[in-house]
Parts: sequence; C-alpha cells; structure tokens
Amino acid sequence: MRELIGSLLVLVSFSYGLIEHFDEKVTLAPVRNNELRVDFRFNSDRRFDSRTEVNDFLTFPRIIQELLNRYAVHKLTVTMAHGRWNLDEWGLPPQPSAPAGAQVFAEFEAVGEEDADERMKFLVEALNGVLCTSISHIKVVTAPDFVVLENHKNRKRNLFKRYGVLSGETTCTENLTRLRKLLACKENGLSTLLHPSKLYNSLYHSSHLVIEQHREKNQCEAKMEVGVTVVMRNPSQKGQRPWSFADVFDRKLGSQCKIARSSQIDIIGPSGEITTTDVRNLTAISGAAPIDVSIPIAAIAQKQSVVKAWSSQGGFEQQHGMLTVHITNDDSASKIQVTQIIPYYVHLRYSRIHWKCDKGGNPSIEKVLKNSKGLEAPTLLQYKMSLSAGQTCELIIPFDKHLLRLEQYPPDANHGMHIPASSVFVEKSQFSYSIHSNAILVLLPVPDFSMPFNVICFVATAFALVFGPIQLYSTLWLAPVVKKSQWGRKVHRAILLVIIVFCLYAHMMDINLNEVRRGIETYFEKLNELK
Amino acid sequence: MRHVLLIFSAIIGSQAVLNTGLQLKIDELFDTPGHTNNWAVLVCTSKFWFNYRHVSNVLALYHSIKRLGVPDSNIIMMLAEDVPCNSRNPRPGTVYAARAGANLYGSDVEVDYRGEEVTVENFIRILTGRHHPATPRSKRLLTDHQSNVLIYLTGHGGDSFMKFQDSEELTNVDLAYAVQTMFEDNRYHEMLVIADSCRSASMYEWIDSPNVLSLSSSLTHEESYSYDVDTDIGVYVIDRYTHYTVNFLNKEVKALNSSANMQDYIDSCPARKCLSNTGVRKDHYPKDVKRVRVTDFFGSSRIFQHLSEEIVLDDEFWA
Repeated sequence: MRELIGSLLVLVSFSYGLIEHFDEKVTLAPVRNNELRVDFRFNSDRRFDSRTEVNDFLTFPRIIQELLNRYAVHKLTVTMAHGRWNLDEWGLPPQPSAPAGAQVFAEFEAVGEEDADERMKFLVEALNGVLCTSISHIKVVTAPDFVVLENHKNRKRNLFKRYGVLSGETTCTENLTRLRKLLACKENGLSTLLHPSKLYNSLYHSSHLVIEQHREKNQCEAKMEVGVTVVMRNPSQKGQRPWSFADVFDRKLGSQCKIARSSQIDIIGPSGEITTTDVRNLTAISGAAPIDVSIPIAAIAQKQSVVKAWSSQGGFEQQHGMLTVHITNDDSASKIQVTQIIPYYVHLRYSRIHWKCDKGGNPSIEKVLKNSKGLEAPTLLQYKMSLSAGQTCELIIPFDKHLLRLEQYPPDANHGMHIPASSVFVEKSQFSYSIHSNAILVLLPVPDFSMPFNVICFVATAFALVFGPIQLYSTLWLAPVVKKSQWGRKVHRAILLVIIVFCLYAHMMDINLNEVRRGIETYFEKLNELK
Repeated sequence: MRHVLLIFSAIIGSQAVLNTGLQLKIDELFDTPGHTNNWAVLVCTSKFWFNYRHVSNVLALYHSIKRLGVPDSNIIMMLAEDVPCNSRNPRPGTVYAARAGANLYGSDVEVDYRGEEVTVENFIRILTGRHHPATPRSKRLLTDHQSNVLIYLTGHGGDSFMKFQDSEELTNVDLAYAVQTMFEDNRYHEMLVIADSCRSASMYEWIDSPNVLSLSSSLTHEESYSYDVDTDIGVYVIDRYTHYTVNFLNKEVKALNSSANMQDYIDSCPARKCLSNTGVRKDHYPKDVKRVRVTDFFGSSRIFQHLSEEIVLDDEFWA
C-alpha cells in the first residue's frame, strides 16, 4: 500500500518537475541518571522549476513557501526556548542553539537598508501569525559581520542580514500547535508524540523553525526544518526500570506517517551506540496495538567536551553595573566568534570594555562594534579570537543604568529588564557549532510612577495657598475697608462655602467624582420627569 | 464599462430540511437574526500569576463559544499573563477552571495577543481595525455590517475604568468611543459587551451606539467575586459570573439550535449565586431580549440570506 501511495506521489509530482520529501526522526538519549534528552527533527524539502508557477503542495507547507517568496528569504531561523541548557551534563546543545526566549536570524533580499528594515518588520509580524508568537517588539541588529549561528556562504550584494533576541518571550502550547500544523503528518507518525503536558513539564525545552530557499538558474530548492528538544526527568523517580514512551510522552506510538520518506526512532545507549528503529517497518503499529519502546536509563558514559559560556552581572549600586561573559575552551584549540547584543536601556562605557584571559595571556582579538540607534536598534559587539586548550577568557562590559522615559518601561518595571544571552560560535578543525550563555536581568532605576500625579497635586496645593490666604493676608492690610454690603459678594462667598463644605463631605465619605456626576444626572432626569 | 449582474436567491438544500414543523414553530418565538457571521474578542487584562482566574475565565468562555461553532479565526484572544507555562504552575502547560475539571489549555488553543502585547492601544486597534499594515490576519477583527460581535473583558476594574497589565487603564469613555467608531465604520450588526470585573457596570455607561447590548458582573458600587479556589495551585481558579455563564452555556445551550434566549442568560446568575447584582443595559438594543437566541452571540451558524432585488455592481466594486 505504502509503495502504491509513494509511486502515486512521484507520478503526480513528476509531471510538474516538482519533488517533495518529508523526513521525521526522534532521538532519545539518557544524558544523566534519570534525565532524558529527546530531539525531534522534521525535515521537509521541495524542488521545483521556477519558470512554471507551481501551486501544488504535496508535503511542504504552502504558507512557508509564500513566506519565502514574498520576502525573498534566503534563510530564516527562529528559535524559542525555556530554561537553561546544562552544558556540563547534557553536552552539545541542539543546533541552531537557542537562548532563553525567542531568537530570529534572517537573511533576505531587499533594495536597500531602509527597505530591509521595513521588510524585517513585516517578516516578524508574519512570523507572529504563523507561529502564534508575540515578538513584535523584538529589536534587531543589522548585518552582524561575524558568524552568529552558522556559516553563511552567500555573498550576494543585495542580501541583508538581521538578528535579534527577545529574552522575556515565553513559549507554550500554542507555539507547539502551530509548529505541528506545518508538518506533513500532523495526526499520525512521530508528531503525535508532541504532547504538551509532558513536554512542558521538563527541565528544558526549545523549538526551532529553519527555512531556506536556494535558486540556481531555474531550479529552486526550498527546505524547512522543525525541531523540538526537551530534557526531562524520569517521572517514576525510582530510576530502576527503563524509560518507556508512555513515561516520556504520556502515550504510545499508534500510527505511521505513510507519506514520509523516512521515519525513525534513534536510541543512544550508554556507550554511545545508536539503535535505529524504522517506524515504517513496524508491522505491529498498523494493527490496534500501539507500540512502546524501551529506553535504557543508564546515561551516556563518555561525555563530549564542549566550549562553555555563561554570563554574570556585577556591580553593587543602582547606577553602574557590569556584564561579564565567561568562556571556557575545551581540551583542544578552537576559534571562536562572540556576539553580544546590548539593548538601549543600558549605556556602555566603551573605553573600559576589555578581555581578561588566563593561560598565555590575551590572544589577538578582532572586533566589531555597532552603536545603538536608540530605540531602533541595540548595540552589537562582536569578537573573533583563538583560544588555546583549556583557556578561560572573560569579556568585561561595564555599563551605566539610566532612568528611562516613563513610557519606555514595561508593564512590570520592577521585574527588571533583560540583557540577551551572548552567542558563541565555535570553529574546530572538523566541525563547528554555536552555544549561548544565559540572559541576565538588570534592575533599572524605576521612577515613582505616580510622580506626575503627585507633582500636580503638590503644585496645585502650593498655588492655592499662595494665591489664596497668603496673598489675601499680604494684601488685606493695604486694602481700603469696604463698608457697604454687597449682595454679589455675599452670594459668591456662600457658593464657595457650599463647594468647600461639599468637598470636605465628599472627602470624608469617600465619594468619587463619577458618583457625584451620576447623582446630578439622575436628579436632572427626575426634574425632567416632573414636567 | 459597467457590469450588470443579476443575483438570484440561492438557498442551500440542507437548510430547507430543517425548516419543517417543530423547527418553524420554535423559530416563531424568535426574531429573525440579521447577521451572517459571528466574532468574539476575549480579553484577560491582568498580569501576574495570582490572576490565574482571569485567564481561566477567558479560556472557559473560549471553549464554550468554540463548541457552539465560532471558529478560531473569528476569535481574538488576549491573555496578559503566560499562566500555563508559568514557572509557578505545578502542572505545566495546563489551565484548570475547576478542581476536577478538564484542561482548558489543550493543543487546540490559539492565543492571538499575549504578554506585553495586551495593551489598551492594541485593544482599541482591534476594535477600530486600524492596524499597522504588517499585522497578520489572525490578529485582526475582520468584521462587517453583518457581524455579531461579542466583546468580553475580564480583569481588575474600578468605577469607570478597567486596569490593563497593572500599568494603564481602559476607561469607559475609551470603550464607548471605540464602539461608536465601529458603528460609524459599519463594523458590526449587533454587539454584546460583557465586563466581568469589580464595579463593571460602569464600563458600558457611555456606550451610546445603536444595537449594543451590555452586561456586567456587578453594579457600579459593587465588587465581583471569585468562585472556586484550588489549594493545590494556591490560587482562585474562576470568577463567579463567568463560572455561571459557562455553566449556563454548557447546560442550556447544548447545540446551535438551542432555544435558550438572552433573558435566560441574563437570569442565569442571580444575586444569591453571584453575590453581586449583575448589570444589564438594553436601552440601545432594539429587540426584546426574550426573542433573541443566546447563540446569536455565543454561537456561529452560517445564515444565508435571500436576495430578490437586482443588484448592480460597478467597476469600483471589482477593482
């Protein structure tokens, strides 16, 4: 049956020169006793002839193709993560590495810088629509010169790059639902294991969407990767019996994705050996009984050594602070490229930014600095350097915290504001990868938000006093005495007295103005009825 | 060149089957609804974890109207706090409106505005339809003159205002102006405004636009109360007014052709249950609420209308 469907697909697609594939894979690796790392990867690709307008979509999501075409995107990476990746215990993070919060890296064509900024704004809003995120207020930096997440080969002239991190962004069920909607198999196959109640009850979870499109003459190739990574703790707590799918995902695998080119479950054993199960060869699954897979509890013995990075905050007063990015190399020499974004709400002390390294002193460092454009774009700091084996370097960034304008504070200003995690791209002779440090939370000086109100009250009181009794008594002695009784003045004084008495009454009885207004309105309504 | 088109009445066959006997008699009890589509704006304005109940209010109502046929694309949901994936939630990824209830945050939930995007500005933009051109369709209220719109606000309120995010307020005058703008732009046919907060009757005080029915959980001088506490989570899980609203919808309005009317709904939370007097404002609503189905606002059926006259569509229409 499967072969029949497969050949049908090929037949339909062949006539248009359209080829599409969908692959799915889940990798399960016990990373520590009682802790399990789960990586889902769903890959979709599509080749077509760009001369013919192909509106047929077999497995590739149409909305992604439209996004790629509309904004002339070459590559777009979006990651969302919650929690902190434990580099010591869990090894290399999933690639592209995800900092806490949301991250967007886009490479697209545009006419000029201004057009690119405008396009980026639209692209971010489109992503909000596709992924159900709320990253409209992400601030992006233009054209990072050094590598942030991975090497880019394209060197086209009209190609623009934008990179931004939003550390406070949350990620939850609705994002997962939208990612699932992009998959060719939403209701069967491995995607059924993406069950929110278990995935979010975890130590760390991240998800990413990477889409890219290449054009060579008339051949167009579009690719999409959806990835979900979770590190979870064994729910049984005892750690005696091996993991099962029911433990990990709250369900068993009950169906196959028949249109997938490959569909596999990889389990990594204690000594690093990989056991691959092809879901499409499982005959039991087509029957009523869903299958369960047993995963050993013993963690992988040999841990891969990785470059480590973490950020910390220094300073002990309200006005000044210090961000330190610590980077420790693994046991062989490596080239690293560090990217740090500094938002507009802290002001850098450029002259005092420096590196401090142990073992052999400071290596030669290339740097790029792009100044902040206020609210438009944050500051970008980038460094390129080589580290010797085991070397530790610290990037020290002193900054000043400034009082912002009232409307620039977030709704809960006392929570503090984030400085995004720095990204470290590591190049080894054989391979390269990226890691992220942690975001830090800066407590900015927060104004008294009721201050304008207080100032108005205070000034009004002062005015009333100065132009009231003080002026009265200072001028009264000089004024001639008026003996004649004046009715107008008496009525005026009576009205003032009534108002003052009413105000005092309203104050004592805690009556608010709206109630007074309503009272007067109903009174007039009654008068109208009497007529 | 002018296109002259004749549009003849077209009616879907399945509709005709229903229009027999009993169904026709029931229909006599109600005014003919004039709308063809339904929209809803559900807003939770409160930040912070301890306002869990406001999120579950919105979610409970969301599931009820979705069950009655309003699709996700027609529901704009605003949640100011990420409650399900909050670090304090002992059951991550879930929201419960009752201790033994069902999870309200399943994988079928679509949140359109969340976190810091829930602002007074965005709320007014949704109502008036004046967005940045980049705003995706899922975040817009694309109503027309044949739409019945349900606006539901929950959060903390005071006399004449509703607090958004602990930092700004939506005043009743703002709301009235936004509704009036909608009326002038022909953006609704009928509207139901529900405010569930303390002193919420003040929220609809200034609404003077026609065809608007307004309800509130308490009168202007009263507080509103929450219904149930979950000691495992440590917070109140739902408010009284919304609890009885959802209860009413689930028990009395089982399907789209339910004969429950708006008066039944208004009576569903008497003062002895709600602990506050619910507010109703009908003076801008021309129909008798006893002759209006609850599903005119809380449900969505495809209502086809016959056209018998000749319609001329000019070039401007086709442009």
